[in-house]
Amino acid sequence: MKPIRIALSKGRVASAAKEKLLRQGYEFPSQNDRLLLTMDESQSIELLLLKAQDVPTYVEKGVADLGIVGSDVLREQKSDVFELTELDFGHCLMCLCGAKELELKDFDFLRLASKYPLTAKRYLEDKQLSGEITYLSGSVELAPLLGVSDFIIDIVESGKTLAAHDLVVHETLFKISSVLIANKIRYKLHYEQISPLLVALTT
Amino acid sequence: MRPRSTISQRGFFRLKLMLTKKGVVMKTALGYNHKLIYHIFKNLEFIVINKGYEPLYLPSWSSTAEEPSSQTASLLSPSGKLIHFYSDPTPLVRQIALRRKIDTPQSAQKYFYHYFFPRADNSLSEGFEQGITAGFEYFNDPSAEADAEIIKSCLELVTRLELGRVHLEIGHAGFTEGFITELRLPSEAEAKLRLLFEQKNQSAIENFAQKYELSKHQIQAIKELQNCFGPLDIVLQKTKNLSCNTAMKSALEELNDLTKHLGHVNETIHLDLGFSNSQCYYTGPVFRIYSHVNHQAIFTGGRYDSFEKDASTNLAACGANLLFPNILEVIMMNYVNSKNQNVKIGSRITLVEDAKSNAQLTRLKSDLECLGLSYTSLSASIPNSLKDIQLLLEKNPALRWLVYCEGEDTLQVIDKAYNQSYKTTAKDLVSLLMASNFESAIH
Repeated sequence: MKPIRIALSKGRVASAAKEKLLRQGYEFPSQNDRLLLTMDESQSIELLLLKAQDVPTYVEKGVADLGIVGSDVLREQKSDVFELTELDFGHCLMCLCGAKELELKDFDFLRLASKYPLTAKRYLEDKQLSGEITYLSGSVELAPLLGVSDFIIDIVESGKTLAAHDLVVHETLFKISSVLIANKIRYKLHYEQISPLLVALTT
Repeated sequence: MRPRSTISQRGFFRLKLMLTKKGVVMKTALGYNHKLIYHIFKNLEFIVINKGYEPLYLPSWSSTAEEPSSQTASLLSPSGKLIHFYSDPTPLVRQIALRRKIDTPQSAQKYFYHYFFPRADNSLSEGFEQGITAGFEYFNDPSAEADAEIIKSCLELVTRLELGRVHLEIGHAGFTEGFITELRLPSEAEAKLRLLFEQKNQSAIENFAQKYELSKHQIQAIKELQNCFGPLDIVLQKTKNLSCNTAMKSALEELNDLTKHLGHVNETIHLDLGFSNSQCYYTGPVFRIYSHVNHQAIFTGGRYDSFEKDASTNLAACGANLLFPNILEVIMMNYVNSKNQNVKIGSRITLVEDAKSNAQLTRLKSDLECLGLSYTSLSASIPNSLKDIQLLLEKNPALRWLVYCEGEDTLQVIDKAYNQSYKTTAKDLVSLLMASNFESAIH
């Protein structure tokens, strides 16, 4: 029987998922942290460590059977996968942030910077605001400081990075948590193998 | 105003030019390989004409289309009329069949069609994108034989196009509807629940149950239905835990009947009772055929005897739709794999994109699409070092080429087959790919 391959987004999500699996009796050999593929001792599951944005791609293409990724990534990408359940880790918030003295109502034309351009676009549409969106791939907090944008839309976990750059949360858009996703065919064909893993990851 | 004509390829490009001048984005989806599209149409035609299907020439637009969906592309014509482009051909085919039924009430009508159409692009760029669709419909026959004929024709096309192994999945819209009726939910909740069944989303079910104050028994039943999938005998066993009403029982009988009529098909038949197809007009058996090559649905269809709006005009109808982008992808992937069967590792190309506006990668993608070469696109920062890239290639046997942006004008290319790493431009890389293993892929 082939092992079930789980794509995990690197970092805290991968650590939390691995910890859950360890608690349920799965054992992983201690090895180099830089290794992107890890098989458990019983050879029943294989963990694949990826950049968060790539997890849905690997699952959709059937390279991985299951995946764990933040709901922010799923909102941003159109992926044809099953979103099975939310998991109890990786919680944070998607927020509109900017300098403390700014008021949203003062802007006729809003300049937003974000790693999440579709989320930013939906925000403007929902609020019926006109504006422009600048796509940035990192260090988004710098954008309002250097005049690239008026506000940013980004993930806020502790708020320390925001505070360090004299920014505050103006509005919380939605809550984010890790989501367990599955390839549509593999989930149905290998349900017997996958269902114990669902229990392991959700308890 | 009556729709006038279907949009031709030339018409499509004229429209694209007109929109470009107006500053509206029009994407030509997939860089369609027109030879390949013709190849699919000819094979479809071969199969259905032998079974008595007639070609149908569909109009692509109307200035009176009702309730445009989020997919509907709308455009103000030079004469000031608002034109809507049809994104779903099925209601249109049904309208035509209904008109013709008046003349020949008893006879079965069978049609097949294909057409290009613009649809709304809901991505960040907005504007329009090019859609392409084909399908076949069978009217005036409510029997399971008609349903089976539609599914068998799809499977025949799978064989003729050499699409490889597929996964056939059948559900029943009536079963799901029967189940939902039992819950006595408000109408807006029904559509949500239908979607949740299909998506297998367990935590969303919990939230849904909380919102609509469902009992424990109801939640349990919903969860059981979500997992009611698998081979026929297993699914029938699972349904014993559900208390079925008349509609659900009759749906199960119909499914049993359909599987008997399908008889011995090459593929194992899987049922999913939570699958009701996202289009709410389906009333009977619904199906999807997934490819094991790209893990995407390549055919979809089912029975839609009566739309809600025109329940009075009863017309038995079932049909299937070809999901073109996915079929094209399967053919391309099979082709590339077969051309490289002597090469121990695969020839798939992986692009690592670092920014949306990178001109080099955009050009490379466009060239690859035009040549019909498949690629996988990953976002940036996997390759922290050359060692990481080599590890990624080693661990993923499906990949051969890995390409990412080195600077403004250069791409960094890793060729796994020759253990080579070099810098190049998008244009030179495409020439190189064509000159090595891919020279025949464009023919």
